[in-house]
Amino acid sequence: MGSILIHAAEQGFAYGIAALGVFITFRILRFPDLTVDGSFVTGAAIASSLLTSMGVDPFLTLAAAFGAGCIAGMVTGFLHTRLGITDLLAGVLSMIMLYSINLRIMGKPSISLLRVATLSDVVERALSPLGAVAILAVLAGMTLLIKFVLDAFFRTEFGLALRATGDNEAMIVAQGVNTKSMKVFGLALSNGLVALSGALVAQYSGFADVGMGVGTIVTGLAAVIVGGSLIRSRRIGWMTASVLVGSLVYRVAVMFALRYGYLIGFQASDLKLVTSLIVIVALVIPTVRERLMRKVGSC
Amino acid sequence: MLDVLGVEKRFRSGADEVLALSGIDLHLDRGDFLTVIGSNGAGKSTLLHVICGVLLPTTGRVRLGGIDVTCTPAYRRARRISRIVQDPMKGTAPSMTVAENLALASKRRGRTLRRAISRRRRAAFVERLSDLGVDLTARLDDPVSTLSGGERQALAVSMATLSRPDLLLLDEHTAALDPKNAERIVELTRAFVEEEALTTIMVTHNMDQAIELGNRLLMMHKGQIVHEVRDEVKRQTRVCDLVDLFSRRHVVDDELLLDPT
Amino acid sequence: MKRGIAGVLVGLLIAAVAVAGLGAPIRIGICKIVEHPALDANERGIIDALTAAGYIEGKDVEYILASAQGDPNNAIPIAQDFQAKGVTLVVAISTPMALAAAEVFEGTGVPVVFSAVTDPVAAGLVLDDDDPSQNGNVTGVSDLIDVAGDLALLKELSSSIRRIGIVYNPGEANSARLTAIAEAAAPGLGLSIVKAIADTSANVPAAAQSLVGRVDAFYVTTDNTVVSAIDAVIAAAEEGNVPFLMADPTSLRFGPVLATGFDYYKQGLLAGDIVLQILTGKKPNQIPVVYQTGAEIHLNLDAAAHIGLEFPASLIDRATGIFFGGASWLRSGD
Repeated sequence: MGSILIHAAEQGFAYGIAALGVFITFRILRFPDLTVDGSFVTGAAIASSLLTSMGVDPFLTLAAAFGAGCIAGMVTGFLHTRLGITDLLAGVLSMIMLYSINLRIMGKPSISLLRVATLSDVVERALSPLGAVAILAVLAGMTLLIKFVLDAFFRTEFGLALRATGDNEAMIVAQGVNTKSMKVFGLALSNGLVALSGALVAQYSGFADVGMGVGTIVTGLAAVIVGGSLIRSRRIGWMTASVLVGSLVYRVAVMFALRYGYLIGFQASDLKLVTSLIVIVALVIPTVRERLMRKVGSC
Repeated sequence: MLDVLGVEKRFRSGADEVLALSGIDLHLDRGDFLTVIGSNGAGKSTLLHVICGVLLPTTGRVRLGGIDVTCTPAYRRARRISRIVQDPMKGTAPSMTVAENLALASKRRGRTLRRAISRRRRAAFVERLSDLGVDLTARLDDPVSTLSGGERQALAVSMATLSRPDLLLLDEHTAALDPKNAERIVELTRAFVEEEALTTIMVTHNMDQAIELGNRLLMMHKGQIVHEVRDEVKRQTRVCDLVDLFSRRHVVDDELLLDPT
Repeated sequence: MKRGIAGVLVGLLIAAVAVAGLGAPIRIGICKIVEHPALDANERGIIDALTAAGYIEGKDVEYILASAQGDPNNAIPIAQDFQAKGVTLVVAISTPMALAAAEVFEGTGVPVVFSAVTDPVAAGLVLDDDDPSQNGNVTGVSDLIDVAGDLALLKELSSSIRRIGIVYNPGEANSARLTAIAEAAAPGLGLSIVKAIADTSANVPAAAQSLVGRVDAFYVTTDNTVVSAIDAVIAAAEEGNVPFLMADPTSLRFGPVLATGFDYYKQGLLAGDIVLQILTGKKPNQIPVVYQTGAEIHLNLDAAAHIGLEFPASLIDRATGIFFGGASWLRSGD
């Protein structure tokens, strides 16, 4: 049992970084960005190519992945702000373009990192006294660091303006903010994080696969929504925390479904159904809470 | 300070075409306080939108402080123009706190990675709010969505006072408030404008306000400026005079077309 | 007397332990990347192989089946779940699933048997496909195209076939490897390979054209670049009046004279056989990777008639499918 929880937590943090990226576009900018299904793989592709072909240091591959994700986000931003393409469509177009680009970067549909020194290997060696929690500790540390940096950023003048862009664009334009640039920046930052997450997940899993990005927006949203209904605060520090909590809860739920689901006839092929059910439950919790409280009244 | 030259604004084209503004020529000196009245659809708000850049004119030019800003994007003009709009919901960021909104209005350009609400700034906000007599000092960390309409508008005015704009545009900013709050906001506005000697344009439906405030008055109808008074003449103008002008407008339209004076 | 009783008691004890040991079913986790007829057939073959060898489901062996439903992100959690459930052996069908299993079970001693993996060495699953001693706990079956078999097939078509033309993209790792294998195998069959390079789909027609008149047959493997411009190769083959073999039976109707492919159920049986070897004591690093041979043969009689070619009876007898009169016909009973 302990090892499953450790594994679920590891994935909760690694994928949690992508969830933070989805949070930035979806919640803060109010921009439904589908680029992430592509940029997640871009990060994995860049990292694994660099690792296998040039033996680049695993940490540097993370930086490279982040940069590539930023560029992907900027393309979506350009399509939307300069060419006037609607948000959803701009994201979809980028995602489709990225599919071809990712294949080019990887050279083949799947790259194995089994025989290459990935972050996991480096960490296991360097932190061997920590044993089974070594990787968890590093992933948690990285993710929390990113979270706190984001929190601090969203409290700066620039960060505040970014938040206002999503909250009330007309108002912040009237305060002198170039909201087009803001959106491009937000998309860049978001996809940079998603790509970083992809690079981490590839190194954690031991392989990169061109199809590993499909559903990133869904699992990201699941984390944001589940977390949001568990922690209902509007303060930025709590909001980012809720995203990570949501990601962890989601991964634990999936692990439990896999492990004990067979007791209720659940099969591994029902995983996608479980995702939707978790999100539905999360969406319904606030409504149920409200109804229960209203029971005191007349309805 | 402000020049509006031959501005025309058309919406849609062909059979559906609407001529929202036509032949607008306006000149404001620094320190002028202009009130604008007119019936619905007269083009008052459209005029403000063209001046601040939310809309681009079909023809004509807009100059601010001598610089042609006709095609400058709205966000850039906003560095020199402050605007308070009618809907209190639209002038503030609802999910952000009072303090954060004030911080957003503190700077009009060059936003950095510095902490937006430092201890010093927060104290400055408290001071500014109490100076203005706006009772929000205890609610600095409350999300703006929890404020009433009057409180939000008071906040919007406070935000506008944090920088000294070249031009202040007020678009019926008390129309959505109850009389008591409207009164308070008008006072706040007047104090602010006087203190900083701001060049101001105030669009209003309230004829008392239009007469009482400012040194110039404009009456618009169907996209055109139909009457203008200033200084001494404006001081002598009474509400009944304006009402008279209005009814004459509505009944004898054709006459005015033939005799544009 | 005491010795006798002691002996019987010891004997009973041993028997009891043996029975108890036999009593606990072996847990085998079988996972695949997606539900798909080929992979499902693979899975069935594995289970059938074990059942045929006397491992009854529920009694001797317990299967935990899993599918990643096309999402590679599910591969690791599935493998981790297998580990938590204490499987004694893992069968991973398809490359991404095999990679995940190899990663999770690395160094644990639990054998990982892969199936439907095209190039296990390039995938990093094994170090060497001939000498398994360094391969750790991983071994399995590969569906890498039986190039030698295909070449032999071409030879069987007609004794006049000597020079085989291959259009390929050296930028595709798989394709480059298969072409190299062809070049190595050809001399042994009395054949020679003539290559034409097309690094993009746009260059395929020119490359194919360059072979017209210089080869007695065309051969195309699973090269994405060439397959996407396959019409150009078909046209070139027709122009040269020579047969064209394609290593993909589903494209038979579009023009190749013959096509080959693998029966995935049989591949499953091969994988099951490896599992049996491990269950009876062999270690994965004692079992070299098995490359499936005996590909299915599909013949396009219409295309053959077009170039005036008649298939030898021996070939028709072994064919699994025939394209004739504009329709596909499959041999029944498979």
